Amino acid sequence: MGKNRRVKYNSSTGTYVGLNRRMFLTYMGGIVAIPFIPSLLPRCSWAQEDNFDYRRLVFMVNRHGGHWNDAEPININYQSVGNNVMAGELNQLGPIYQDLSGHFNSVKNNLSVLVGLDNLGCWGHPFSAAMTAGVPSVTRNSSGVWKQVETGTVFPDSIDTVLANSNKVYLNRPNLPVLRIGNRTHCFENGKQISGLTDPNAVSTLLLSQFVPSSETGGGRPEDSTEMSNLQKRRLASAETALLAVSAARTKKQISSQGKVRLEHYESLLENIRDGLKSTPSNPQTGATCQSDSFQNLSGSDEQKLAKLMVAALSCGITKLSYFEVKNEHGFVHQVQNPENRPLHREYLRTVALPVVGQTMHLMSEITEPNGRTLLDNSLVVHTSDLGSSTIDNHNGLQLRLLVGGSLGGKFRTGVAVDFQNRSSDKILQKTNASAYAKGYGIKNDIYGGRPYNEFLVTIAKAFGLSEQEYQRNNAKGFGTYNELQSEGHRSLYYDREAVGQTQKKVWAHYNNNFLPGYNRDSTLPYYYLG
Amino acid sequence: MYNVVKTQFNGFLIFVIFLFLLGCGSIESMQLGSIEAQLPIDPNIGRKKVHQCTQQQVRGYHTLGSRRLTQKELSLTILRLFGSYVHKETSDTIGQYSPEVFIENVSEFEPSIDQQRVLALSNLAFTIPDHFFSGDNTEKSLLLDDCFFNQQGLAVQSCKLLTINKLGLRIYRRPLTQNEIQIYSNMIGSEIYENDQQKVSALISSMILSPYFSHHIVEANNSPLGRYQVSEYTLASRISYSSSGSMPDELLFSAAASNKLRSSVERAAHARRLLHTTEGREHVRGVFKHIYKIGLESDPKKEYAENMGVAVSDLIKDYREEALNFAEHVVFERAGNFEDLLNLPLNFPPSENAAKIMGFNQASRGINDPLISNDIRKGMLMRPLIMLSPKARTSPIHRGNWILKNMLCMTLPEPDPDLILEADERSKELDLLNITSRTQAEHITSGASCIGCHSFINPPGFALESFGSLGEKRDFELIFDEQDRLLRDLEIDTKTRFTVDGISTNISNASELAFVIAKSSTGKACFTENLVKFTRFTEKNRDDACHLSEVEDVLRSGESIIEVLVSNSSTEDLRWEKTEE
Repeated sequence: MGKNRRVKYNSSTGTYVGLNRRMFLTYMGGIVAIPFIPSLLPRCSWAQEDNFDYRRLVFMVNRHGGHWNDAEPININYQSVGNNVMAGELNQLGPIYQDLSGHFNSVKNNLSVLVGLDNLGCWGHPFSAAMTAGVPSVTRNSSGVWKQVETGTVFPDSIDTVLANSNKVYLNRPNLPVLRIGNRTHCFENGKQISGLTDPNAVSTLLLSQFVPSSETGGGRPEDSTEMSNLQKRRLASAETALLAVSAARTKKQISSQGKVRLEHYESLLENIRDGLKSTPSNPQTGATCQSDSFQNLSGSDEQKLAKLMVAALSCGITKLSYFEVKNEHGFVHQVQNPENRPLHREYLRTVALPVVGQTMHLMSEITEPNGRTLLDNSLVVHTSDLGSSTIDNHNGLQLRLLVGGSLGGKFRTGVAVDFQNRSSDKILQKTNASAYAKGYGIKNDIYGGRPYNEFLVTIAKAFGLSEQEYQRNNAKGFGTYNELQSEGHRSLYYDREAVGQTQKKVWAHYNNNFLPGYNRDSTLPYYYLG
Repeated sequence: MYNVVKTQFNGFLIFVIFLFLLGCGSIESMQLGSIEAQLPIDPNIGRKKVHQCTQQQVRGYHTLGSRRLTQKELSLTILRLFGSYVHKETSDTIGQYSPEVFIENVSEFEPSIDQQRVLALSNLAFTIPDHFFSGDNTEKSLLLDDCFFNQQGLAVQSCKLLTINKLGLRIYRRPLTQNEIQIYSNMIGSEIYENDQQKVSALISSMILSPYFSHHIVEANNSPLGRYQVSEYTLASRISYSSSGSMPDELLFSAAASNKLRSSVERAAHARRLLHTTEGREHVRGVFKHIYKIGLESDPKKEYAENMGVAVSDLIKDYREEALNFAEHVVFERAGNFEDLLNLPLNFPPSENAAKIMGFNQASRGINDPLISNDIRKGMLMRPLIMLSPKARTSPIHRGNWILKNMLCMTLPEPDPDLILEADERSKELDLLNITSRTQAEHITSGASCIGCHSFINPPGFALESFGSLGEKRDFELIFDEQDRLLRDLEIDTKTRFTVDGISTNISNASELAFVIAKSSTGKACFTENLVKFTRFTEKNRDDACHLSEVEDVLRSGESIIEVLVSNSSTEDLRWEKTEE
């Protein structure tokens, strides 16, 4: 089957339409094992491409929870820096970020901590996603699409998908616009969840497959000179032989025309696997040359390998957008009534979940790019969760903690802690639940309503230069859910209601008084965003 | 003397076992008998068979010749082919070959392989050989000839061909052609292979990537008018996948090789055997999962659960397990039939939490430890999972709709949005905190334009009102205010007039509802259709009439579900593939 015979099945019409290589590789969870040869850190060199935009975005998400009390930065001398915005120099990170092999502290000046962002429209894990600002993901139609997409009350894509579709991010959309690592990502397209990869071998092969075969690079583009290993050759031979089998199968008389199209479709996809095996690492999209051993034989745990692969992919220009699911510790959130849970949870975060975040930021800070900035500084690395602070059960979206690395090439302020809580409004959560607090699960400080988390995502979109039309729909301003503050739409304190009484009303009051009706969903975060 | 005593003792033991078995049998017969005595039903219910075979001479499947394996099939095929070690080591990758989720019906199954699945498959192709050689598994001897382990191994031409043949037979699920053997032989003749293990690894990888592993591909021998006669090996695969969700085992391969699958008796024997394997049981659980839409439930309301004194965590998981254990027990441990499936008063709460809701003091220890209901809870319909609701208030409309769709295969039109608005308006007239869910449903569906459909939908839901939204048995409906404080309890009413097979019957409770469905032709035909659909992953079409008719006959005769499944895997239709029109 020739290279021009890509096909894609359209289930609504029962026909197949053209599918090019780029479409194939888009969002694919590539999982072909690859040969291993020794390597250390990513080694890349960039071609002279003056127009290349070095800005990248990485989300590292604790899915469905995190014990954020210990994430509070310490010894911050907060000063008012604007209307309902306090900020201070980031002197000391919260306890759970400290003592992590120095990773966080080594990049401290390139970090920011954001406090007082509320993920509205989110009241628990079935209804929350960190990259969509609270979309009821379990309310789906028979095609697995959010029903709210049909009613036009949500923006159907997560922020990574929005950025990936923008020519402000990619002048030429690469084969892998977003690298998604994790079992159940918070990434969505058209209201459908996009799955990611969890196997380092699979990610490795996916990344290697992003390079075109050496015979096709042409044009004097720089190429890696690594020769194909024997293992790679053997696998290539297996794929080539399998293609012969497909070719023979689809000519059998007893296979109906529709059955043949199914096999042609398989053949087309298998050809892409074959092409990936032929590839040598040279990226014509960016002109970058990356040595394949940046993607192979990596040391450490699977999670560490995945982080290294992600950094290699970002630094080599394979992709500019990435999602990384930090090791899941949601079980702790459900066991929060257990008095021994908090220290265990904190210890788990400190020793198991968070080191990979620090390691990633540290690795990114070690790579200097042609524009003179480090990879970390050229990027925005967001570490957060979809669920925020809590009283007894960590299932609401209030008071997210954001630890952000990098400045997106100078677009964001670093080395600061910024608190967006509106202290002139009523407290929406207080230390009223004495018994819970005594057990160690109560909130550390009283909580005031802050700013909608949607604004953070809007700020990112604007920082990348996206127009409003690219992240808004249905004449609704901003990004994410459009009706989270309407009746029955906002249920963010559902889980905490028993503990703190009528807090739901307080949240309502706060947002009604401070953001409605003049609520500008399209605002950027003041002070933190430099524009 | 000793022998005499022993013989007498054995005789006594057999007698005791006989009495015990008699006793076991009497549980169901007593239950069924008592309902029947109280519920005289119209003799026309269940009289008329639904599926009819009119074209015996053109029987056959209409599969279009190829479709991909489902994830379950892929998983069980890898298990049978490479053994449990390889299966365990590759379980994550198998998981990346996305599982099928059926929201409404089998037509949502996409028979064409997609990008993600191909990538999962290729990863399997390249990692399975490593696991295969590193594990200590007996499958090596099944897949590799003894000659492979000799000193000269594949250097000997005959050994090379034997190895290719043996691997090919199992991974392709049919013997390789001469041309295919030549191609594989050429492939491993290259210098890039440093040893025999690398050669075999490459063969395994390549064969897994071939469409014959990942797809069901019809092999046919000749083409009489309108249909092809499938090869013995395709026939073997059809028997095996429809009965156990996996590839043929050695006995089935042998039978295919010696043309011993041509009679339905021969096919049935293999199907029966395979159904009782581990894969067969797993497969049947999977089929029930699809038929009863297990896995698509929403979380129950936390406050309601807490008010009922149970923890909501793991409840759905427990309920799913309970429902599938019930089905597995009825099918395999009891050799139960369709009526048993809907009527047996057995329960399998896997946790104390679930047991509490279901009215038991302790959990069941597994599928061999049924707890007998002390209330009206009987059969598949009354599994707490089926009763589960995300709200505190039950919805007779949703429950009724579920029964019509999934147990009677009735297709109801989507309600007109204007009618829903109209119903919403009507509901505003109600004092919801003072009426039962049934009264509410009756009121909002009382409009002339609603009642047409709802006269069918509502009654089965009303009969189930004796179960709360956690699936708990209740005599009163508890009404809570917005703060989840108990306001009052209202007496429930489960008496209704239920229509099936075109005949209306007065029923007074849920177990009578289940009893009537179990007796009905529509219920039996629906179960038959679902069984066929979810073992073949295609919607029924007109070419299936004879197959459905034959399977329905077995079910209607009162045979066990096992025999119904056996029939589904052994009819004459398996031997034929219809040609394209």
